[in-house]
Amino acid sequence: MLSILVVGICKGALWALVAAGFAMIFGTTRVFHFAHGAIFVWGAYFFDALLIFKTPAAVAFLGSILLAAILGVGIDAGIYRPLQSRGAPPTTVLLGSLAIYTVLVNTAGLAFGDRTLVLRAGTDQMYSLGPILITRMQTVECVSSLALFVVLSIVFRYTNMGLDIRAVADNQALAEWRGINTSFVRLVVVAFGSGLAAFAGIIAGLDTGLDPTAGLPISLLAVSATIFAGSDRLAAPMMISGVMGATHSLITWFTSGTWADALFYTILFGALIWRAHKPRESTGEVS
Amino acid sequence: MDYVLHLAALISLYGILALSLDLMLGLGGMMNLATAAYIGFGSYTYALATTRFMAPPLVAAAISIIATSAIACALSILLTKCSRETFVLATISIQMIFYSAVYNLEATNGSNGISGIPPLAIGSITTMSPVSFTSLCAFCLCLMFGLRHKLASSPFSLGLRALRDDDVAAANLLIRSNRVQPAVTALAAGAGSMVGILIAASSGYIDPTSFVLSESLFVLSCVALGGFESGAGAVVGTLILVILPDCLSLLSVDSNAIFHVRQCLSGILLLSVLRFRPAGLLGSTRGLE
Repeated sequence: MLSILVVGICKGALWALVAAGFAMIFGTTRVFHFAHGAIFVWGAYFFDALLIFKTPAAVAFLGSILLAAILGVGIDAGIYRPLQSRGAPPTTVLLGSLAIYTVLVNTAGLAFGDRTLVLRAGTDQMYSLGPILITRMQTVECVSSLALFVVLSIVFRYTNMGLDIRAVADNQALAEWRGINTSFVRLVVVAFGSGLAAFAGIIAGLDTGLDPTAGLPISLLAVSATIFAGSDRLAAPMMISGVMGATHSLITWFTSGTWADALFYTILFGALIWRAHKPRESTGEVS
Repeated sequence: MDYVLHLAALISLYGILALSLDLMLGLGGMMNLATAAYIGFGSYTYALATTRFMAPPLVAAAISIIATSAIACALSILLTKCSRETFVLATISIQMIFYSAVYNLEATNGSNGISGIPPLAIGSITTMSPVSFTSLCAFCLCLMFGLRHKLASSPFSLGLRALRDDDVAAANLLIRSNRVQPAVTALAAGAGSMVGILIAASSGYIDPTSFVLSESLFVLSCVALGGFESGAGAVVGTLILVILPDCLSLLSVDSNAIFHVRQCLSGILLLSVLRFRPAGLLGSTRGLE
């Protein structure tokens, strides 16, 4: 039981990373970057593709994160920015994002097939800490997510770049007027957020494996968490995603997996409805 | 000849869906991504009513349309207060809940699906022969087109548009979002379930994989490509998106690859429309503002 909880928390930590990337991107660009989940998936596929070309694992790891970051920046520069600069309403941009999601997921399906991609060969080494059984990959998940969260907080709070990012998220016009290069900040944020998603994707691929549609629940969760908590503080959407990730694992365990998705989406649906019915003033609704 | 008939039926069915989504999205500003769930619910209700409870096909079809509309209407009452982004997420959730439920329930036979569904017959028109099935689909498409046209020029649609453009002003005019929006959702769901019934009755077999989120996204692409607030636009968008990938299918044989290519193509076309002609081919952008 305790093991399951720990495994759930590891998974939750990974989802939280994706949500953090999403919230960062949303804060700066005001785009509901639905395709973020597809970048999560593509991170793992890039890694797989680089391994096929006999790249050393460490290089492939960094390379695929870099490729995902480039992909993210490309999407932003090629689609979101032109749409926004033309004054397109947010829903149009969301529609664009859904279209990108479709294209990315189906290209992955075309190129790599629909079967589940498992990046690791054989079973993973297990550690036992008292009553808790945990695999090596899950330890990596937990530790790296925590480390990245600490790094993120430090960057946000104590560096000039972090200050710039927060300024742009708070008021883009004002930030621009103060001499902050907003398009550079935007580029950095999108690249960094996409890199985080890819990192999570690779780890997920190494741990349990994933298929092209694996990004959907994570995308949905990241969007919902950001709607709930706003993007002012990364910790809040991260916490929500983390808790939901853990819940998903627990439900999977108790219902032997078959009902996990249905329950997960029902919780999400219920939460969204509940949120929408709260009085307007206190919601801080993003629209 | 059979191929052309099949294509025509496909276009008619997706056309009905596109028209019904245009009612919601173009006139009402509700980006609904649960279209496939409506089709699926219609299909499954029809299939279960005919195979389990031995209901006559026409009765089963009526039950199915009413049930789908009622459930969609009830869910949509819950959703009237949502912002647009929340609405999208909530309808995706509905879609995923539906898929996961039919995939896991014993009553729906899980991933094996339901077979032996009886065809629908009205007089000499039956869903079994390709000619009469296609003409039935085409007839339904015309019906839907006429209904959409009638509705778009009615006072009801003024209320719907008012809610889309400014919900506070609409409320001031005593237009009630919890009446107007569920009504149009029920209509769209009814049309969706009709498509579902036609599919189930013609193929005699359904399984959960036909009712996935990609289908909803595909219908959305059809509407966006053709242009919002335009009945002709929705049909033209469907025509392009169904025919174009089908031409590719003449080259290759792998049906799975075709599915992906079709999805990719619809995504790419949608992106280029958004980028270069935001109004769609024949429509206006007002539905999205």
